[in-house]
Amino acid sequence: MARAVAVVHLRGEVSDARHAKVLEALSRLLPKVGVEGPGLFACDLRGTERLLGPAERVGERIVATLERVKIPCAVGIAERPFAARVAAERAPAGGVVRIRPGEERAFLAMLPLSALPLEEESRDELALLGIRTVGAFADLDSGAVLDRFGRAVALTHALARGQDAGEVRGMPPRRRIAARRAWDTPVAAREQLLFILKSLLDGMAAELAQEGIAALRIDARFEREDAPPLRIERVVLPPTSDASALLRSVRWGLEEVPGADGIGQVVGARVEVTEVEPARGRQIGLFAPDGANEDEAMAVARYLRSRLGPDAVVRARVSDADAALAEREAEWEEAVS
Amino acid sequence: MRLFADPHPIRLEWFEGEPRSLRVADRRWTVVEVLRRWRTDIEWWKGDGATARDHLTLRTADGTVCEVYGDRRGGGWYLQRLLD
Amino acid sequence: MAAAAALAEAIASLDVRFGARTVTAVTAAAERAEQRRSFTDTSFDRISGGIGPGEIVALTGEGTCGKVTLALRAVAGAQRDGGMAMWIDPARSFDALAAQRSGVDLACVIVVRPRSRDEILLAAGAGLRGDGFRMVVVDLGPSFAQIASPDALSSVVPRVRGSTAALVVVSDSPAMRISLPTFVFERAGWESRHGRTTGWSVAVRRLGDARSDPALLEAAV
Repeated sequence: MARAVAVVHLRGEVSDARHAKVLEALSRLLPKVGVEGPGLFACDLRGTERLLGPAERVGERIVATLERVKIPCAVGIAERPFAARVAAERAPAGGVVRIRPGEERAFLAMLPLSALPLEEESRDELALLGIRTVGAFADLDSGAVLDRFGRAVALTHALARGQDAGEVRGMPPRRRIAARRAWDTPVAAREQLLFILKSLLDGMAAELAQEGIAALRIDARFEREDAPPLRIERVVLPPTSDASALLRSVRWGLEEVPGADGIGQVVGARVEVTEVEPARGRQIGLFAPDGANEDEAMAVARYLRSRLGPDAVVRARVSDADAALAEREAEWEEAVS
Repeated sequence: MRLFADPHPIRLEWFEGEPRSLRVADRRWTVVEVLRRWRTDIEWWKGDGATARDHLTLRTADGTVCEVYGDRRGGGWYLQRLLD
Repeated sequence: MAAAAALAEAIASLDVRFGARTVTAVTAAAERAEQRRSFTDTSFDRISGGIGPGEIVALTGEGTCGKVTLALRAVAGAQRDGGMAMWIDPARSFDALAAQRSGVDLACVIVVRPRSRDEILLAAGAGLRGDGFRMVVVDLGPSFAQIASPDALSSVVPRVRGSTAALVVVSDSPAMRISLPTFVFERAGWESRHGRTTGWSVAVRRLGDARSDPALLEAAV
């Protein structure tokens, strides 16, 4: 399945308890669930088609699941979270609205500017220019918008054009999960630095496990004697509370540090988990269920795709074993989107 | 078995209507046997989009069995498969 | 207490250098390794004993000799209880239909198409990390289309030992400067019927072991 995000919009009163209940229910159903706001959840549907079926069916299942516990909602589905969110907010309770890929901009075009996250002042200024719809706003030149209104409005302009980043963000942890250490003798070797980080990450992994959460994004900052601090931000896929998986993610980040000088002379490290998801109780290990191994294999595939580019990490499917032309025997597709 | 996603251009040398040798990259393989030959005409009604090929399965002196095809529309011969 | 802490640090160092779970109880490790050996269901298994996690096997031989088909069968063996495999394919010659006919589950194979020697090493290193893959195959391709020799894999070899994956290297010629457990494929003869070649037989021997009986494999054209 190409990229698809389902945004779930709860109707009626949204208490903390109801919000937490829905988050737990969605996290049991889907691999990646982010929180957009109280009673508003974004679910990344990439990679779920094989197990859960088409996106619309997933949306219907979400509505049915929440209806059973008397929580009305609506679901919007699109390639980008913003269009999916607008669709969810405007759909009737119990509705599932799918915006087809490439139609986000057209969908948003007829809506009033109030559908966009704009300061009232900016909205008023645009109205003075005769711009009252999302479509009219999207038609403006992006450079001109940046010059006239600044970066915040330029980002909103990208939303209007259906160009938001499209990533589902996890939720921040309830309490800070971070560790830091400083040392006197600079460390320049990657393996030595990783050895130090291992003990930091062991402690953080234990905290994650205790809270019943898994790290989705980690932020590592290294103080250096001879250079500005080095910062590495990693999205951890699949989300995990496993210390060796966290260390592996940081290792890959360090390996991507450009330049022949490597990491420099490191004298301190601080690591923080900035986004989490509810843990799913999966153990990744030598004899883990194959679903867990496949998750890890796909994480490696995603990493290689990011390094090697399009058409470099692929999967084949035999489509016609009797094809007259050999090149038509199989179809190839990107292994990860 | 190898199936090249990008078939390698080759040069076939003929003698009395039979392939005698095959050149691919910097290699020259002597052909000792033609195991199979066939022709495909795919989607001939499409005009420019049609595919018309002559196919040969060859065994070479160095012990390679391969499939090559000649593109009757675009010209040229290509190494598409290597048995291995 | 201090000795225990020092031992724990030393083990942690080995885990960091060679991958998690490098140091473990001997009996537990032996049991796990035995359970996860991959077999091809051919006479090759008799001379190889299967291919286990953390092991390297190089399959070499010129021309049509069956080494790619055997590598595919090894992948099928590794997938037997649902494991994933990575096939590194710089020559872009992975034959999906042949793989399926060899028993490979294509849905559980990630094919990586590197364009340079460095990309081959990057892919192999990534595939050997963690628990994602049971087997990583580096198919260097036919000699006329090779962008790297088996010797280029020297930096990857130390990673194999601590990995939970096996590494299979397929190439026309053996490594010259690094030592890999190598099986050499040599054609024993051609089968023919009515003057036309219909198949071939291949003798597979462990490199450096001329005394033992080879494994004999047969294939049809």
